[in-house]
Amino acid sequence: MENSQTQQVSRRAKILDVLGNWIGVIPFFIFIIVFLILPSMNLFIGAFRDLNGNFTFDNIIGLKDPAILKAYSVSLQVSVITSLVGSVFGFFVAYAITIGKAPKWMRNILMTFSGLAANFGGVPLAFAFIATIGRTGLITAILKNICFSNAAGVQSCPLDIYDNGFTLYGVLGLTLAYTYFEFPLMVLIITPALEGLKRDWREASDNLGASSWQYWRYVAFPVLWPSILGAGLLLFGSAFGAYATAQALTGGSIYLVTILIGQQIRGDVLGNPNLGYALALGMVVIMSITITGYTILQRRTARWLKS
Amino acid sequence: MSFLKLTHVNKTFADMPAVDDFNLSAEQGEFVSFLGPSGCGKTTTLRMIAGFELPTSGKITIADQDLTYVPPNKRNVGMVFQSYALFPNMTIADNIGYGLKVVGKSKTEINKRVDEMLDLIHLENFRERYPYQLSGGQQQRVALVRALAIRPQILLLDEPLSALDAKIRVELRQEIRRIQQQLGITTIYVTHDQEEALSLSDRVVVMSQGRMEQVGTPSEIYTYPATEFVAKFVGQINLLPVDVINPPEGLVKVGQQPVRTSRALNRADGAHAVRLAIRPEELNPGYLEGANNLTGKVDSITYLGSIIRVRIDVEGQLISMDMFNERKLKMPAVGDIFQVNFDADACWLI
Repeated sequence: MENSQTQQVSRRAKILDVLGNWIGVIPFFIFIIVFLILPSMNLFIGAFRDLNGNFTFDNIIGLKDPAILKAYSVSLQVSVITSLVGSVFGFFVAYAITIGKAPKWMRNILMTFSGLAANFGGVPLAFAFIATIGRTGLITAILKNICFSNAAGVQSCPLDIYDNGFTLYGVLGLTLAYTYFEFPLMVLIITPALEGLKRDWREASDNLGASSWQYWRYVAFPVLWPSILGAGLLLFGSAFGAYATAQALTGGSIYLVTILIGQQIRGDVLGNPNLGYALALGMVVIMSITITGYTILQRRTARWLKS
Repeated sequence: MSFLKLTHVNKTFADMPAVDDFNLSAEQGEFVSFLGPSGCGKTTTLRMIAGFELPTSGKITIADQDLTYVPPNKRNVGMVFQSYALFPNMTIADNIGYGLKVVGKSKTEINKRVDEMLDLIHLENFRERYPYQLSGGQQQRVALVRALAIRPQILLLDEPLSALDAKIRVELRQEIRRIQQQLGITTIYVTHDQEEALSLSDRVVVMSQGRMEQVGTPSEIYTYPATEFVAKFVGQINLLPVDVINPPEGLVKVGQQPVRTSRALNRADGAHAVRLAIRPEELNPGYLEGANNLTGKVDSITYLGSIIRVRIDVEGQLISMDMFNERKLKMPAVGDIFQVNFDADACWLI
């Protein structure tokens, strides 16, 4: 009798314990189901439906349209370039504030800036760029007014960037704007990894006769590689999925997949939401391929990591 | 002729002296330990030999070659770190072969040396494993042979056993000594563990606050400590304030009880506060005619495994006595009146 009572109390305690462990993550799962899984399923189903709800491959076949292929190409181009530039630039900034001899105050300023800039995207970022290096932006105006006279008294203003073929409202401008939030993201991600490089490894390498280059070639980069790869993927993803900055900066004049999706779903002239779903599905496929590639590469390069 | 020579080496960090006028000559094949508490400058001195720190002044030579300002990767000095510092992305074989690879040795030569080194530490089957797959002791063995694989002129060990548990520490220190003797390599060993320093070394340098307190063989350091710091830091010691009765005869009083030391005090010694130094293991239980005898009350008894430490209150002064823990040992009880005796040779005045 007493024994069965004890068992009951113990079972109840166990259930409460399990419930206690799960209760914290229940809102997360609800959120994921409502805002990720259900929309993804809707997207997937929608990509194979026409406007009347009938099953069709037309949307998928429609992705072969030259304008759409170009949009994918430009999106990929901008994403690859900005993730590479952001990775390299961010890596060197992170290096300077961790392993380099940059003063501590600079580190604090750069980390705060990075935290802010990495989250500064969309319309405000586009506006900031227009206000500074737009056609009538502040920096553009200052540079435009720096003029020189030659011996013959002929005046030239060589720093007028728009005269030299630059435009903020094209791929180059977009790349610049994206790099603005990409490199701080890299700084935030790679700084802890650089801090994880032990001073003893460097000293052991020196002690064994290696040069600085050999240390980076054989020890530091291979150790950092999984983090760099992961950060690069994140940067690629954030550029590939960006919409508001490009839309605000170029007014939709540039072909990006996200802008095309926006046009289809907003119901502009000839808008086809189901084609929009197919476009989004294409993006998911590209991201999946990228992540698979990343996973394979990571497995190959990080066999030494504890599993 | 000395193989490793440090002459008037000084190092300051932001005007704070870390190493103060350090002088040392070590012979080829000698095992020298730097012993001292944290912050005494032992690791800084080692790092100056390795080239990771530059001396503020002074000179470091190895085999008559001035290496004071030579970069670490040009010194041919092997170093073993407290944290092992194995490269996590490399297998054990790659770690050991790293020093040979970076100087452009052939694969055949690297493989041969790696095999030799693995054989030396009996880890032949761990060639293709990664550091995380090895225990701490195994990792430190690998770190040791990685440093030796480049055939360095000198081997430096910076508290290599600190991160290991007690049993492995004892095993590994014997292994370090065996390998060092087998290869006949001049070795500098940094430790704060007196047992390690005394058991491993040909000579010990005891350091405090950047200065060398005493240099000598383990036996000299333990039996004849030159300063109060050395006496206190190396082993256990009783330091009892005494009144000097007869300086030429070395006669003093602990409380009201006379004690004779084998060494006469000069008058100048007698003018200062003098303390009687005696190791706990030099005290014997009971009264002995012709020896120094002290009587007190048992204050506490501590069981330390192979030894038992009895603390005796002698007129307000606590004295520790160590006795071997034998089955036949008759233990006093706390509060008992207890007598201890010791030779005049066993004690000295500081």
